[in-house]
Formats: sequence, structure tokens, C-alpha cells
Amino acid sequence: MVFPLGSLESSKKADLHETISYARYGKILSINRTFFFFQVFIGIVLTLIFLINIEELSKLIAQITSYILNRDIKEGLLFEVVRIYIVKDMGRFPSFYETLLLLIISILMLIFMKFFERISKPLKIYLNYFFFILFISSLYFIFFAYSFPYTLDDFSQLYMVVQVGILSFISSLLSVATAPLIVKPIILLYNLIFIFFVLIYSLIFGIVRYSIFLFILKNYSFLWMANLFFNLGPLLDMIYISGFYSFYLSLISIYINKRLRCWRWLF
Amino acid sequence: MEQFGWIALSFVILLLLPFLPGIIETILKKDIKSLTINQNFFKDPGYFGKSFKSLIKNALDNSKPLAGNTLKVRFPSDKWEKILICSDKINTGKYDRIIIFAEAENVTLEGNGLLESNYEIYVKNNFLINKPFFARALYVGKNLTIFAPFRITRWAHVEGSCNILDNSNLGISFYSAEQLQIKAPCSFKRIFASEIMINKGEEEQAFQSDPTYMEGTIKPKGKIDIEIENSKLIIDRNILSDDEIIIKGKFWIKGNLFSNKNILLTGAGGIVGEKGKIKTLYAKKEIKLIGNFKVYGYIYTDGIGHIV
Amino acid sequence: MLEVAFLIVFLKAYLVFLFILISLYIIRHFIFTYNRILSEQRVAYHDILDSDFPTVSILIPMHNEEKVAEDILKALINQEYPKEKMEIIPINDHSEDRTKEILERYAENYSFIKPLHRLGDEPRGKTVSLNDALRIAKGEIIVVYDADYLPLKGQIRELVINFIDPDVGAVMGRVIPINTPKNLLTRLLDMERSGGYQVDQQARFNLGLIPQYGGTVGAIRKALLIEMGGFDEKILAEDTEITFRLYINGYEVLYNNKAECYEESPESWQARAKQIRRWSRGHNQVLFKYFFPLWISKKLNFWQKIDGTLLLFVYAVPFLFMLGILDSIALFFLGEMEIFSVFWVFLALIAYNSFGNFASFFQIGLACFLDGVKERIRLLPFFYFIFLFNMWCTSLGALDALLDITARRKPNWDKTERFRGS
Repeated sequence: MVFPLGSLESSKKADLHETISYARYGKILSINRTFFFFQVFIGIVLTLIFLINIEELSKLIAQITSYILNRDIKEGLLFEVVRIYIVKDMGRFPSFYETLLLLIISILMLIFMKFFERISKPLKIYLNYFFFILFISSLYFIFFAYSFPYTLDDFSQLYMVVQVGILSFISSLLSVATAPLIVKPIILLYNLIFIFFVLIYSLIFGIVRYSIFLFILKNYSFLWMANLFFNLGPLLDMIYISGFYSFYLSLISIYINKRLRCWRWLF
Repeated sequence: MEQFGWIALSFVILLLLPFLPGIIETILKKDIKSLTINQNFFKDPGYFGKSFKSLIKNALDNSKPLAGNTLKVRFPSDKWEKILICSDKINTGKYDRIIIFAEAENVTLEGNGLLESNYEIYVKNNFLINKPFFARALYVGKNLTIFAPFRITRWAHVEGSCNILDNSNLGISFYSAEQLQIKAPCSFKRIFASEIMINKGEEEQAFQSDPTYMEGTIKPKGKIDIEIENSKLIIDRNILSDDEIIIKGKFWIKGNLFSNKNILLTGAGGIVGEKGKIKTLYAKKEIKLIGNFKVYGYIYTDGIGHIV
Repeated sequence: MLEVAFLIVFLKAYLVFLFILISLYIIRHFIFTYNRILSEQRVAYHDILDSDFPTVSILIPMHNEEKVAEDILKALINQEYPKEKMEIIPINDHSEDRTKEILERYAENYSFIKPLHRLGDEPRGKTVSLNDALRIAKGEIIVVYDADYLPLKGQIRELVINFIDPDVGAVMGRVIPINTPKNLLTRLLDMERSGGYQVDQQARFNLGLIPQYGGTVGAIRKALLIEMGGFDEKILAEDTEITFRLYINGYEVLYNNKAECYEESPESWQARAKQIRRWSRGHNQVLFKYFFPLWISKKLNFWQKIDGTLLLFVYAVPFLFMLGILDSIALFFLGEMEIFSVFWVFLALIAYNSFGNFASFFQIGLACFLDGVKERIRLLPFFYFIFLFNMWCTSLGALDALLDITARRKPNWDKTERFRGS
């Protein structure tokens, strides 16, 4: 009689009372390489599809936003080559007193932040950042209000480029970030559903945010434009991408971590 | 304005949504513990056997006798398990509980076929395996002699010496406090003994006349392929490589052998380590020993080891 | 008008430079993460059992460490290492609390505990303390622990065995926070640590790049350290400094992902801010000292030089990024935000810098995933709140380092506050 040569992993599950999971220092994922490359390929293809269809995508966003705000849409030219659609509207310049008031508020808040100790440091730094941009913006409108270089159309165009770019970027980024998780074919499907979900969210969020921006720039003033761009712009997109990714990853972690066969030891 | 209120509300909800799982986790604190480190951990090749021995000792103190040589014992996890108490013999067959030979000086197997158990076997004194044997783990208080095919899935611990004379699979960890002789095809992951004789072994006297010396640790970049022809090589330190190590011929490496890939030792016989010391032969992926060798200490692979 | 045009070109050029720099870091993070989670892992020598033990001196710098001193001493007394081959040198660096009494009490009971008391006019600080201890240390290997660490029973052996390799100048183990449950900050720091060790350090070790000696849970060959002149007392990040000095002299740092050790993370934002600022200051001092020697050295290969450069700039990038934000604000008001590059620059910048301390979100996420963490991964978006915080504190540290070099200041050691028992 010859017993089969082999390690613990090759022995039948019935041999064991319980499954011992690998130590964290040397475990690696046992992925399906075909599915891995397939998913990365899908992600890149989706990005290219979005980039090729900037015009249609911008039209979709502009049409829904215009419907929400009850406005018209208009065409614009990006880099004098690519046609994009934006919502047609007019912005508002701040009055002198309004600007002065915001300037004073921002200065007071910056001073207040300096001496107010009870607020947590990260929040304090974030608020400093917010009021610093408001301060710069107010200062600018006090001295150079009529040199302000943007119309609402310019801003819309910039916003649309950012939004379409992010939509394109998501599929590549998330396909590369989730591809290492394909230890079972079903996870490829989960990954694609997840990427699709984030794309849908991004589209809805992009539309709602565009509506908010247009409303603020029309009803309040251009003075807020810098803050809108630097605080609620692309930064927020990265937050929801990482937020959904983390939730998804935690679910996959619950699913995979106890399954010994999803892992390999050292090589 | 009312319409804007709805849009603003949607915006806030959408803004909070990605944070929601994080907020819930912050409040519920489901996964809050630090990563676990066993503060009592240290590298001990006899760890499994030692902890099993103390486990059994404690369990027997907390036992209830049942009919048919069976005891019901309580383990530290508060789990009650049935164990079988035997005298000096056990019939081959399939067993579904821990077996203990608590008294007999020598224990053997009887009957035809295979002894198979997915549980541990504890032998207080000597154990002679003369029938095919397949168990999860084995503890032997004195010496172990194996004359039949032998397979362990987890570990074996021998407090005395051990002689393996038939083909074997030594599981994850095999420990012998004294000498271990392996004289047949064998697969393994970790073997520890103060002296491991593989096949016919090798003697230090064989290196007394005209050896070639290499001093210091050898650690070249890339693969190590040493072929010793008509000579005897003594290396007084370690051989280390991130690549493969192949040594053919007659050699005595007084230090450790380490490879981040495979090790193949073959040829006219070799020694790793020195008497009275513990040294290690480690390869991450595969160890293949073809021929007669002696290793003082530890043979370890994270892949699979073969003795041919 | 020409000046304005020139300024705009300069501002745009800076953003393009930043874009390229940040892209390099993004690629690096992807390579490291993929390497760690999918590729073959290189193992250190920890599985070798060898009865020939080298002598070891364990140095523990201590300044007012009464809250933690006993714990680390107990953990070291408990080590599975021949006591005749080891000595423990706790360095009482001008403590004003009960540290001295605790050390003396232990020294009375254990002959291998040999406290070094630094008092009076002697300058205070980690590096000067370590150099003083180095003069009396008898071990072949120097192991350094911060006072808040809790080494497990087999750790000294696990670290020291790696010196059987003559190319190894220093060894680094993995740091794991023990006070993770304390609050949101400690939970986030635990995740950040995972990213840094489980992925970053191990991937660098796998790829033969530059794993970093971290100044604690680490060991150095004493003869080599003395030959190189001991610890540089002008530099706050003595660990990073030693790392580069070793590589430039042809030695390597070995990272042992198995040699895990508990540490105490800062529990308040103030303590964390001080810690990051000190790290940044020290790390940037090393950048100024070793940027050119790194490239001139013939002991490193091309990829090690690239990795070394990126490692040197790790604490400078947040400062450069802050300048990038100011640059973008300037371009915004100059009417130049429509340029295509700015859009991409912003995306890239944020992708890299928004999440956590010097690691992208997928790196931290997947590191936690490897660690078997489950629900905790959901805290990942909260790194947004420490993005600006990290950037600000790191930038202050970078400015400190700039001032150190221009004004020839000698920095003072600012110890991280301990929280155990509080």
C-alpha cells in the first residue's frame, strides 16, 4: 500500500476536525487569471466607450438636469473639437456688500479657528481650508469682480468635462481594484454588478450635484464657484468611490476569509 | 424653491450614502478588536505534541467512565468528547475518536487491513506500527518503529527515537526528540530530530581525509548549483539563496541551507549541521533528498518535501 | 502682461510636474498591492532553527514611561532566548516620573537588565540616547524597541536569526496597534498600519527594493552601526536615515512580516499631529541628506534607486500637493481652469492623496482584507477627514526640515504621548 504524497491541503476535508486558516503574513489570493484579465479588459473597454461617447453622455446629464431645473440645453465645444451639452442659464455676480460680508465672515472664522480648541483637529483644518478659499474668493470679488474669468456656461462646460471624465475613470479604476478578488467565477459577476451600481450612482449624483451648483451660482453668486469646485468637485467623487468600494470589499472579505480554498500559502 | 429643497435633500442623502456603512460600523463596533497576536508564541517544532500531551493529561483528570473502555473527557474549550482507552493492542479498522494507550510498555496493531482514524492517537510508551496506519496525529512517549505504510495528516511527536522502514507521509510536522531514521520513500513538510538519518545516513569520519574547505556563508545572486566530483566539500557556514539550490556529490554543510525556491540534494552523501547543534534545511517550495544524508535538526518546507 | 503669461506657464508646468509625480506613486501603489496580494511571497529566515545564538543588546529609549515601562520589561524577560546571550538596556532619558525607580527595581532582580540613566546636562533625545547605549552595549546585534511595544515570546529570535545572512544590515518586523478599539482615530490608524506593513513593506521586500527599517521592532548589526558612526544625532528620523545609509553602503534591510509586535497608537488628534509632523521633519531631513548620495552610489540597482527616491519623497509629496492646491486656486482665478491637464491632474492628485497616509484606498482596503478584517474596512471613506489633516501636519514637518537645513537648527526630540491605563 502506498499513501498518496501530498500536503494537508490535498487531503480530504473529512480528514480534518476543522479548517485552519493561513496566517496573515504569508497568505495570498488564489485567483482565476482568465477572469482577472477579462475584468480588467471590460473596465478599460467601458472607459473607452464612455470617452468616445462624451457628447451623448453630456447630453443625457444636461437633459435630465434641464428637466429638473426647467431650463434649456445648449451645445458647447470642448477644446474646439469635442461637442458637449450643458444647461443654458445665467449666473449672478455678488454685490459689494455681500462680498464684504463674506470677506469679514471668512476672516472672523479663520481667526476663530485659530483660537477655538474644542473642535477636532481634522475638522478644524477642513474648515480652515473652506474659509480660506472663501476668503480668497471674496477678496478677488472686492478688487477684480469684473475681471472674473468665468460665465456660468464656462463653469458648466468645466463641470461636464469633470463629470464625464469621472464616469469614464470609474470602470477602469474599480475593475483594476476589484479584479484581484476573483477567486471564484461568481465574484466576476459580483464585481461587474458593483461597478455598474457605482456608475449609476455616479450618474445620478453628477446630475443632482450639477443642479445644486447651477442653483447656487444663479441664485447666490459666482463668489461660491471656487468653493463648489474645490470642496464639492472631484474630491467628492473619490470619496463615494472609496466608500462603496470599502463596503463591497468588506462583504467579499466576510465571504472569502473563511474559505481556505480561496487562498494560497506563499506561492 | 420647493423643488430646490427636494434636490438639496437628495444631494445630502446621496452625499451621506457612501459613508453609511462606515457610520453604522462606527456605532455598532462589530469589528473593533486589534489584530490578534499570540504573545506566548515562539518557534518550537515539538509544540503540537507537547500541547496535546498536556491537554490529554488535564482531560483525563476531568473524565467520566462509560461502557466499553470508553471515557468521556472534558477539554479546556468545555467540550466533552469520547475517547477510547486501549491496553497493548488495537485491531485495524476505522476509529472515530481519540485513542489512548495509557499503560502498556509496547503497543502493536492486530488484524488485516488499515488502521484509520481522523482523530489523535496517544501512546504512553513504545509503539510498533506493523500494519498500514493512517491517523490525524500521533503522540508516542518513548520509541516508535514503523514497518508498514504510514500516513499522518497533521503531526506526530515521538519523545524517543524513531525508525521509519516503509513508505510514509509525515504530515505537517514530525518531531522526534532523539534519532530519526527514514529508510524508505517519504513525503513531509517539517521534520525535527536531534539527528535525522536519511536512507543509510552519512558519517563525519568520511570527511577526515583530504576534504576541500569553503569558509564563510555562501550567498550568491541567483541559482546555486554545486557539483562535487571526486572530492569532499566542507562548508563551515550557511548556504543561502533566493533561488534554487542544487548540490550533487559529497558535502558537509556545517550551517543552515535556505532557499526561497527549491533544494535538491543528491549524490554520494551529505551532512547538514554538527552533532550537538541544531541547524535547518529550508526550502519554500520543494525539498528533494536523493541519497544518504544526515541532518542535525530541522528540515522544513512550506511546499512539499520528498525523500527518495 | 508678459509676467502674467510667464506666471501662468509656470503654474501649469508645476501642475504637470505634480501630475507626473503623483502618477508614479499611483503606479507604485498598484504594483505593490498586486504583488502582495497575488504574487509569490519572499520569506525571511524566521523558519530557521539554529542553536548558535548571537549575543543581543536590547535598547529601549524611555522618557517618562512609567505607564508602559513594566509591560515591555516583562515581555522581554519572558523571551525565549538564552538569557546569557542577551542584555536589556532601558535608557532612562531625563525622566521626571517613576521610570527610574521601575528600572532600578527590575535591574535588582534580573542581572541582564542594565539601565542607563541619562541625567543632568546631557542632551535629551532618542538618537543621542541610543548612541550612549551603543557605547556600553556588548551584543553583536542591537535590537531597538520603543517603550510602548509588547514583543511576543519568540520575537528576539525571530528578528536576530535573519543576521545569518551577511548582506543583511538591519531587520524590521511588523507593527500592530494594540489600542485599536479605543476610538475612530485608532481604528483608522490600525488600517493605515496594515497598508504600510502588510502591503508596502512586504512588497518592497518581495521585489528586492528598499524595505524600511522603522526604528522599533527592529535589529541592526552593531559592528556595522559603529563602523558607520552610530545614529545621526541631527536627524529626527534615525530609522529612515539608517535605512539609506545601509543601502548606500551595500547592505540591505530585511523585512520580516511574521515578526509582529503590538504598539500603542496615538489616541488623540493632537498627539497624532505631533507625531506626523516629527516623522515628516525627520524624513525630509533624510531626503536632503541622501537624495544625491542615493543616485551616486554604485551599491544600489536602478529600481532600488527609483524606489529609494520615491520613498525619500513620501513626506515631501503632501507639501508639494498643498502647493498644487494653491497653484490650482491661483489658476482658477486667472481663468485657466479649462485646460485639460488640470482636470486630469486633479483626478490623479486626489486619487493618490485623498485616502489615508501615503497609500491609496485600494492598498489600505486590500491590506485589511489580507489581515482578515471585515466590517472595519467600511471605515475607509473616513480617511477623507484626515486627508487635509495629514497634508497640513506633514507640510509643517517639511517646512521644519527646510528651516533645519537653512538655519542649521538642531531639532529637539518631541516624544509621542502615551495613553495606556488612561
